[in-house]
Amino acid sequence: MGRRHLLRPLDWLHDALIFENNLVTSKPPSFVSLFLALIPFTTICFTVSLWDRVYPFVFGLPFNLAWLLGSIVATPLFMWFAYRVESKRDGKETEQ
Amino acid sequence: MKPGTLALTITVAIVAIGALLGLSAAFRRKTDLEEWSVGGRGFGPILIYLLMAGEIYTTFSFLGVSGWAYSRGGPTLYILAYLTLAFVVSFFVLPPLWVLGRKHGLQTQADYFALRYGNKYLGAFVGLLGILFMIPYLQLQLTGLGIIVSATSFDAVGRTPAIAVSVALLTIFVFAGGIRAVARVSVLKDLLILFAALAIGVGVPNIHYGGIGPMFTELAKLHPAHLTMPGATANLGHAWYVSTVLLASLGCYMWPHAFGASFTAKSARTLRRNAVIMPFYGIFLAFVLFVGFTAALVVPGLANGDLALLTVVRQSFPPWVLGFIGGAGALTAIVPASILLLTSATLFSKNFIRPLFAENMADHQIARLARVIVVMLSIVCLYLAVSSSASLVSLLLLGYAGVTQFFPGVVLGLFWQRASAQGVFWGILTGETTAAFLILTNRDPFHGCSAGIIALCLNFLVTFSVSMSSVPVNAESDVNRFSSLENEIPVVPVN
Repeated sequence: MGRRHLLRPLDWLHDALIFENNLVTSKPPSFVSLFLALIPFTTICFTVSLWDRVYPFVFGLPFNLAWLLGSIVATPLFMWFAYRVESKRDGKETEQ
Repeated sequence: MKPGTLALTITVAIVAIGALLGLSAAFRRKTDLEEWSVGGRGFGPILIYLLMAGEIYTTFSFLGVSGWAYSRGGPTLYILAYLTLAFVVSFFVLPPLWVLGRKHGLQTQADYFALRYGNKYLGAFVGLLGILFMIPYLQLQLTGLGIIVSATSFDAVGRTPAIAVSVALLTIFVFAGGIRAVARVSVLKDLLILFAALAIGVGVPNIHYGGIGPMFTELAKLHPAHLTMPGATANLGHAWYVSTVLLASLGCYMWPHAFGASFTAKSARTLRRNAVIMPFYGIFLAFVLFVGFTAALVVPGLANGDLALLTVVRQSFPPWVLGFIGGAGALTAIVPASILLLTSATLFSKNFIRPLFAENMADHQIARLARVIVVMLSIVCLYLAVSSSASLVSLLLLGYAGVTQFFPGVVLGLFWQRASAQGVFWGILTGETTAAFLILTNRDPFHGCSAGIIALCLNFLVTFSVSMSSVPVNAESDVNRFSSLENEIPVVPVN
């Protein structure tokens, strides 16, 4: 059970009370990382009518499939930047 | 040896190795509820990566993606799209959830609702809805397993005995092993499925057309419309794509089993890092897609699209390859099915039975009850899988839209302090009713838009307005808020 018995009720009640307006809400993510997350949503989802076609073929794949796969591979790149932004914000407070 | 016997032997051997691998890891540890359901919150980056991949890449991604590519064409792209974006969503939602989970000992999705909204009835309500949506999903995995076994045995073994044997295996597995055993099997399953997907994704087009490129050139020449949306369907166009991708990516981690698995992580950072790299894994689905498209050219006219992948593999490769693919596919059904079974049982005993009927139950009693429920649920699912009825299919369709209705409650709960129990309850009720009405009366897609997203918008609206009109919760009532969780945490009078 390890950590469970360390969570004494008074301690966590206290934690909850000093945590963001007395409630169990969390700190919202930063606008920068939300914006970064919007990029894959745009390339993969919202712009579908711009890239959903067969020609021209790219690397032997129909255009829509090639575009989608390209966007999927690019997604971790944007999220890695978001990761750095969020980690930096966390670092200012307690380390999880 | 007959080809069917050889292929089936290999499939069974792979499943047996997987089961032993999982159980051997599990028997060495004591399995209390915390260990059984969330692995003692000790899973590092690799194990959590494999576990999450294990539950998201199911038989549906294997047989379903190829089946959709075969029978529907272009709209299949939505699956690759939503999985990628689901990880983007999880980047923001799972780490704060994990922090709360660690702090308050949460093990299930319903635990979160009960804690955040200080209302055990809301927890029980969410838990029961979750089980209702998970059962058809579980049944789908079992049906997939039955298809795989009967195809690899060249139809020598019927689906019913195949499903019965696998349910028995599954029950023993979950009963004894818990989540850690499942995570261990995920290691083998993921290696095999990656290898299998690459092998057939490259091999099948190569054998018939001399490569992936020439295969697509041929398909574009013969059936150009099959490659774009709406493909072979009448109404799955771009509006459907955008709304469905949104719905499924927001809803993916609202599945109670996916939600609960995040509590197994060692740290919030593990989950966040995981969300960054997971999309790479999705590339393997593209290879499954290639097989489906090749099958559309090579074996046209199958009545059941789900059989496309195995049929074309059977025609292209010697039997031992089919056996290998079958083994990988079977593990792909067993891993998510185990997690579904485990999550349903934990939800039922911990969030429904205990808070409403047996307040004083201790954790070890819950763990015992959960195991009994595993057996009962397995029997129910076996019955459902064997007698598969049409109503179950519609329940499954409803499931995807249904779990997404938890999204406002989870996200507003995390980031907006005014979100209230009444708001969330009425929001979920509105969302589920709307989704059920539109889907069960065949109005999905509704004016080209996925029905679930319409329900989700209404849900958000109701949750927001009811929350705004209810009295803000102040600090004093926090004492009540937490008292519903007193069973989890050693009780000391709070005065």
